[in-house]
Amino acid sequence: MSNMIKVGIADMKICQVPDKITTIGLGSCVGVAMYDGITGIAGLLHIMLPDSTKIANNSNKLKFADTGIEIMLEQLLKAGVKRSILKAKIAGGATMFNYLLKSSIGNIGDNNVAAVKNKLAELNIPILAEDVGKNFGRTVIFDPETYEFTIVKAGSERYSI
Amino acid sequence: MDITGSDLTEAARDILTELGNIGAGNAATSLSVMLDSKIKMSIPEVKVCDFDGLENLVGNPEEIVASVFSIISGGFDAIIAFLLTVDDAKKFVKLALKDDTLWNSDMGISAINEISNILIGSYAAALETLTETKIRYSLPEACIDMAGAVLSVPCIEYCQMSDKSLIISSDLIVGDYKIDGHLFLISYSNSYDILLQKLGIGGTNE
Repeated sequence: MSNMIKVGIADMKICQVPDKITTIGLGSCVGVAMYDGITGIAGLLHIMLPDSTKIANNSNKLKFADTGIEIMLEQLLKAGVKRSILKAKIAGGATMFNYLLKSSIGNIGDNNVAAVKNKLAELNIPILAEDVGKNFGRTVIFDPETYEFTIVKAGSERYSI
Repeated sequence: MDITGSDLTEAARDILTELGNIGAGNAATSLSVMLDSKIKMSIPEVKVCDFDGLENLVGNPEEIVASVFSIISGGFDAIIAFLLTVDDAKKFVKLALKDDTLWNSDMGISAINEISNILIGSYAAALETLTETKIRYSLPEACIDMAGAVLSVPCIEYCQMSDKSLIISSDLIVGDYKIDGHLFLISYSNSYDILLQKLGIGGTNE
């Protein structure tokens, strides 16, 4: 029996074949799936903001690209994944509104994507596929058996990367 | 997740409910004149919750909604949001433009935007009077997408400041057409303390 494990906002979970893992309604947030392609173990992280060092209110480490990815890596290693062959797929980082909030936080979607890419590069984890930016929300589902990262758009259009 | 709002005092809850009543009441009056229809208004619900509770404001976060957001600034920070489900957005646009095929077109979105502009302006005027503060509100901007994705916008903005959000929600029902519009005032903890002070009352019982 396969379960669908749900990851909330500023949240991360680990899953293993035959389960799948999902996070719903990514707007400017980014979903990061990490897996090694051997053990059938995968993690999915839903980050909201790029950089924990720039925000005073940073107690929830899973909210940020930098600290969130570190925690996911730690948990994946504990679960037994092979560090040297870890890879990632990422989705999200849309711009939902063009003008709103521009002045105060700039383009948060783009900043989130850049921060995720920087952190993964720093940790030497290659990104095998991405579906980022643009102006629409995404629900994502990762299947640790096929390594497919499925993106569902509003109105049910879906594709896998 | 705490969605009971138990950390607001009774008095704070009462005055915020009243604020919601007057704000949404003003908005309902404008809407009624505009659409020439009776508008029913729910008793506003006031809650304090964690930011991850925001995505569930209109039920299923994957539900597609037409949303319009405006940023309130000057004295305290808040967002006024108007959300409609797809079905209600279609009826709404049909009512405004006499054509329901236009709802997801530039014309339809512009109609939703214009009507929301008036709703938000009326709500903001009530806020201004009640708090005796000069406030500004940004030009409203519309987005049609999954509820979770659009609501992550205030979530991201405010979670930088605090983990608690205040939500005052009111439903406006366009009587003859059964259109259910959700009007929200969203703020975060330090800012709604200022709002409460301006309303002449202390903040939360922490």
